[in-house]
Amino acid sequence: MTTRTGAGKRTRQGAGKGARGAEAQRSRHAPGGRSATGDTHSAELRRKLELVGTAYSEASRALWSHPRLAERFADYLVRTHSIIRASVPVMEAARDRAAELAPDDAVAADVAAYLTHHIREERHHDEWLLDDLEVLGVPREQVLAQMPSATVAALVGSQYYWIRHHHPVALLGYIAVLEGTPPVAEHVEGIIRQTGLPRKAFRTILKHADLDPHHRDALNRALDAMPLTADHAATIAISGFSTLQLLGRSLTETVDNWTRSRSG
Amino acid sequence: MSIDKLTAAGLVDPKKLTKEHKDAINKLSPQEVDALISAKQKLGGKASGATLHQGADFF
Repeated sequence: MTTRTGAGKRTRQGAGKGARGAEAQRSRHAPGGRSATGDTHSAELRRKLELVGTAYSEASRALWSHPRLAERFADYLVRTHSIIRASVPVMEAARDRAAELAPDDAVAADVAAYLTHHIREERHHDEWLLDDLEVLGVPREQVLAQMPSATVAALVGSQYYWIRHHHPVALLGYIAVLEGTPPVAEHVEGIIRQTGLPRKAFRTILKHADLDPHHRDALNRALDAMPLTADHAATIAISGFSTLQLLGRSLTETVDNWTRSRSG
Repeated sequence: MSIDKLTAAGLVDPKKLTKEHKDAINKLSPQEVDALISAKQKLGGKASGATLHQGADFF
């Protein structure tokens, strides 16, 4: 991977750079996990992602205010399950690739350590969603038999590509989006009242309202401790922009399906 | 300036952006600017500010 140091000098980094070890590489970066602009890495990333946040929020609002929300809420959970079921496998792929690079790549070493911890926190969340769907009368076999959309395949598949063919640090942009904007419990309570659906069907969403702020903060701390170069930061941001766009498209497709099936 | 490029494309409204967000845009690499433009265009392409998404959904 070609990287740019804080001084703008470009260097080669990653696998195949000989005896230069992770610790030696770490020493070439500014201490304190700050970007070239002086912001923390996490603050810089959040600010970049907010540039797409307004557009994503519009897609989200269209879903939560849709007149058929109560009737079709299970569709939303099925779509969400198709994304969440991939969380642990894609993180394992990134952790394994990062571990391969780690002996010569300090950022990869940090990514591997972060993911090793975070994978444990994310296990079985897809099972929670299947339980919630059963509350709504959707058997798990029916959920698992559905082919996930091409948009969801692109959302997760692009991460596998970047992990394998660019750098596993890209996955941190995906995680920053998925866990960076946790469900707001107050909004979820409003949806429960509005739809009249069983509270048990919202168990996974409510749990994430509680868990995701902690996971977001842990990711921020991990990012801020990493010796990221400007190129690493750009890789994370580009991955995050793509994630927001594809998540937004997936929401829009769901809303369009609801609207089409009503008029048809 | 990257902000001029995004404004010209009708994707940001500088009046709705904070100084921090304007600075962030102008410090983006060319590849980040292209990715940002692509993402915003595919999400509807309206001139907007910058906000943290908050809602009932997971993401």
